[in-house]
Amino acid sequence: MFLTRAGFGAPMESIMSQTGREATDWLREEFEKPATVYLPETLATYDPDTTSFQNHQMLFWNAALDGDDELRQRMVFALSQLFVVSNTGGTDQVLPLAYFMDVLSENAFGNYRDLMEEVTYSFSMARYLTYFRNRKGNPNTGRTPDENYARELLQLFTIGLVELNPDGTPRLDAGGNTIETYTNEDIVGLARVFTGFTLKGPSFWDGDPDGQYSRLVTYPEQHSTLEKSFLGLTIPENTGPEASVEMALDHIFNHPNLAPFISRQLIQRFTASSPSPAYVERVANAFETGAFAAANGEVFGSGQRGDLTATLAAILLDESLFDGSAIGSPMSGKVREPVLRFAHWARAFDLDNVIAQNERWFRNVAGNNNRLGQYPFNSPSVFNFYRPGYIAPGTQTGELGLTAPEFQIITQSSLIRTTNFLMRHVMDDTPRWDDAIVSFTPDYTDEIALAEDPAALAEHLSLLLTSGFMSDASKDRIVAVLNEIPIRTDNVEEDRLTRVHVAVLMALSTPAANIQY
Amino acid sequence: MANINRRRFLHNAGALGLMSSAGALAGLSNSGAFAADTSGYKALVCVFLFGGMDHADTVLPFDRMSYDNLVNIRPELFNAYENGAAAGSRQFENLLALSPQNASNFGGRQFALPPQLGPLHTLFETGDAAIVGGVGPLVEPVTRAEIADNTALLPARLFSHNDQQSTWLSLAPEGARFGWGGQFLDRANLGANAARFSAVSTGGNTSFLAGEETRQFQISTNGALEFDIIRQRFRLGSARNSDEARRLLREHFASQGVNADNLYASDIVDMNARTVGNNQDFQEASESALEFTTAFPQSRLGSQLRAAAEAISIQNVLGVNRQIFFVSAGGFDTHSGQVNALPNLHTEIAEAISAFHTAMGEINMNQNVTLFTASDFGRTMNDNGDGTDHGWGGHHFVVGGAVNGRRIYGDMAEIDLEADTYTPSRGRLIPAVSVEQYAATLGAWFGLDTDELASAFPNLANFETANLGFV
Repeated sequence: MFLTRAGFGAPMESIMSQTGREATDWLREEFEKPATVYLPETLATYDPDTTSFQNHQMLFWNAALDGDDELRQRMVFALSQLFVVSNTGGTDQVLPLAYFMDVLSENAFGNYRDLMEEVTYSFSMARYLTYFRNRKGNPNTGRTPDENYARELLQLFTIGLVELNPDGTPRLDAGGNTIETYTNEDIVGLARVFTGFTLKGPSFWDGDPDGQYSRLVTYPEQHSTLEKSFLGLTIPENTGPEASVEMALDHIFNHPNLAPFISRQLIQRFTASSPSPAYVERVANAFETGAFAAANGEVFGSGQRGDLTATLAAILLDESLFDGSAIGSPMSGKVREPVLRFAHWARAFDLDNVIAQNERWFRNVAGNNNRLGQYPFNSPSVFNFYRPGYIAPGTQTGELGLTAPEFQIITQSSLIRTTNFLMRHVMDDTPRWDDAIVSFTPDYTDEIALAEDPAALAEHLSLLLTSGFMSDASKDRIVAVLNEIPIRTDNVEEDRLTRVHVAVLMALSTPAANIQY
Repeated sequence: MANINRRRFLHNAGALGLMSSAGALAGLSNSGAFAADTSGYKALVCVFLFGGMDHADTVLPFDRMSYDNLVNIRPELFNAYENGAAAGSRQFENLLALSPQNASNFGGRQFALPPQLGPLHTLFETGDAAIVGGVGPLVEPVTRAEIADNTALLPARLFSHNDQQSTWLSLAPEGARFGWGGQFLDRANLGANAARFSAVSTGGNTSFLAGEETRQFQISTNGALEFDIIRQRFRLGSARNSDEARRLLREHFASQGVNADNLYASDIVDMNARTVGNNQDFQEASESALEFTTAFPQSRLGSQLRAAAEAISIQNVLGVNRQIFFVSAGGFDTHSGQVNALPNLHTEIAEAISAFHTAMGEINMNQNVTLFTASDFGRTMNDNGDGTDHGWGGHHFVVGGAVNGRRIYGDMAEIDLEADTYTPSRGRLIPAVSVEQYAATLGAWFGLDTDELASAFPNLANFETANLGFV
């Protein structure tokens, strides 16, 4: 169960080997593992004529499904849903996007302040939120700096719209109303900071060939010389670009909202769709102090505010996940988004030949009837696939005011499409770009051995795919369906495999498999 | 002074939870008998333009002085147009002049659409479309002076995409549980089948269609959906026992008989049950869907409106006489590269809406179906070089046979950043009419009575008129 929270899913051997082991040991090992890096691999294979404009997504899938640094890549996926950039443009964008992914991967266990800065100086973000070559205002034409990044940096990446208590609940004024964190004038002031950014190279308008996948540079003559006032800070007039950025990011980083705002969203990406305020506060406290002490006394983190190892340890080792209080509670757990549902299957059956580049359905050209429904690094907008505050209409969790971001992309269409997507993968029958390369092959050895004992197979899949939470009704139906698939004496192997395919698909489509308990 | 006191009262009312600043929709289900007029068939189609469409680059001034004023306010943008893919399209002589019947309301000021909106221009000129100018979220009428001195009572979280989308659709920032589309249907619909297929989205879940009883159904833009393992015989074989397996699989996908202690899992059980039942019934009904002779454009919006048109053609089979559709186009957040993005988007929406209107004529539904646009917000009047930033009020289109067309409702603000119609900063248009007025006008046509509208729109009473009269 711990492995599904911290990674992308696990095969039976890992589940067994983890039993009885200290979670802290596993965590410590994950923190030590070298990071998957994306840019070198991209550069090594990049060909403008043949490389897919979604190549970076394929590399991420390979790491998520097969990489050794599983926790780090799960964190990359989480961070990619905070600092959202999405595919825009052509094949040439896979290089800067790989650079951006390295920023996330290399800083995943670092400090949030560094992430804010490296993201700010990345071409992909500058392009996506349109401050690339954004110039200071021009009083003669009435031009003013682009406000896009200033607004989303505050709203989405750091402090959010309303003032928060340390437990992530909104602060209320004497009249019982929420208090907005910034005004439009703050945005106008902060927008002046993000002017003068361009590629390294000969001039502001002329960048080096590798400029898009190098750190951005700034040109003081294109940077606003006006006073920059926001959130109570005034950066004096004539402050240069890098000094302005540093002052601005320091000021935002020190905002009291940062810890609860970021902590709550990271918890949502790992362990709980609607974390309790107490849980948020415990994690926010680790973010604030940069340290987290596990139940066994082990301490994680550097002691620096914004330390992400402390934050992650606090999320994954939280007392509520181990003392039994959360598991039994009907309001606990996390709805699995489609990426996690698929990854869990892939890891559970130790997928072989993980070459996402060869799988047609991993680019968003899948047919109408069979789409996973979520493509990493390709959300529809900077607002991610779903909103952290989403409360699903017409649901029991919604009635109680519980957030369920993942429900925003689960619809009466997507449930069918995702099942069909999973079916072809489960049955090892997906369309490939090169049929000679047999990619994405699952290992069903253990399951085939149980094919003639449907009840045992159902139990086994319950443990493997639903942490043992599969309902009896689902198990009974798996048994009933398998009993309708005869094992013919002249066709034993194929019939056993058909039973396994059907049973795995059924297990993956149980309500229990949609939840991370 | 009286005005200030009233505002104080509204603040206090908000504090007591009687009315939030944005007037979140309250549930209507306890308000007694259904009064809505549900005779005949009627449908509303919301075309949501995600990102915030630049109103000033959509309906342009067409008297020389106002046009020149606009060019002077955003010279770099007009300049960029001449170097972009749609060169010439914003030149004065290439704009498509509007000839509203109520031109006299605007003195000598005139208006035009860019050439990419040609099909919408035709619908306007033939009386099948109206423009509603200066629509946006408001709690009550506000002035520039009140905004400047911070005494204005404003909707929450202005200028924020997700919150303004939510406010347009659900009258409250993100997290709103009910939308006015869902509320209309709660009022109007009778019977279980109607509730299943009355709220229809071609995209994801939208709060707009969420009601107390109304549940939204998603339709595909490419035919009905089915589980492949059930549909494809080669998966399970064709023997009699595989038919039994199929029956069991359908029960399985519907989570029949599954009990879940965890509430999220329990929600999934409900979603699975609805998914299987509704898609099966919709698929059967779809067999009688009309093949339109009208050619819909291949664009994303074109496909969605074709799917909506097909669903309307089987409303009889589905047994539903009030429907609300939600379709959308994205990419309107033109902070940068506006001159290359917006003209294409205009082409997409104008062609798709025009095809939809023609298709409704084909099945004699023109009088029964009203389409309207909505968007996060308008944009700043001045430019940032090659784009525009988040604004507030915007201009919108209402299309259909029942529309009192070839007229401009609301207001078209003068092109003067110092005018009272703009915020002091960067010329963000202060709405002349509220989203609630816009929506209530549609609701009245849809069949809701005055009490129902007052209940659905808590701030409606703060405005001079509850019905703008465009439909």
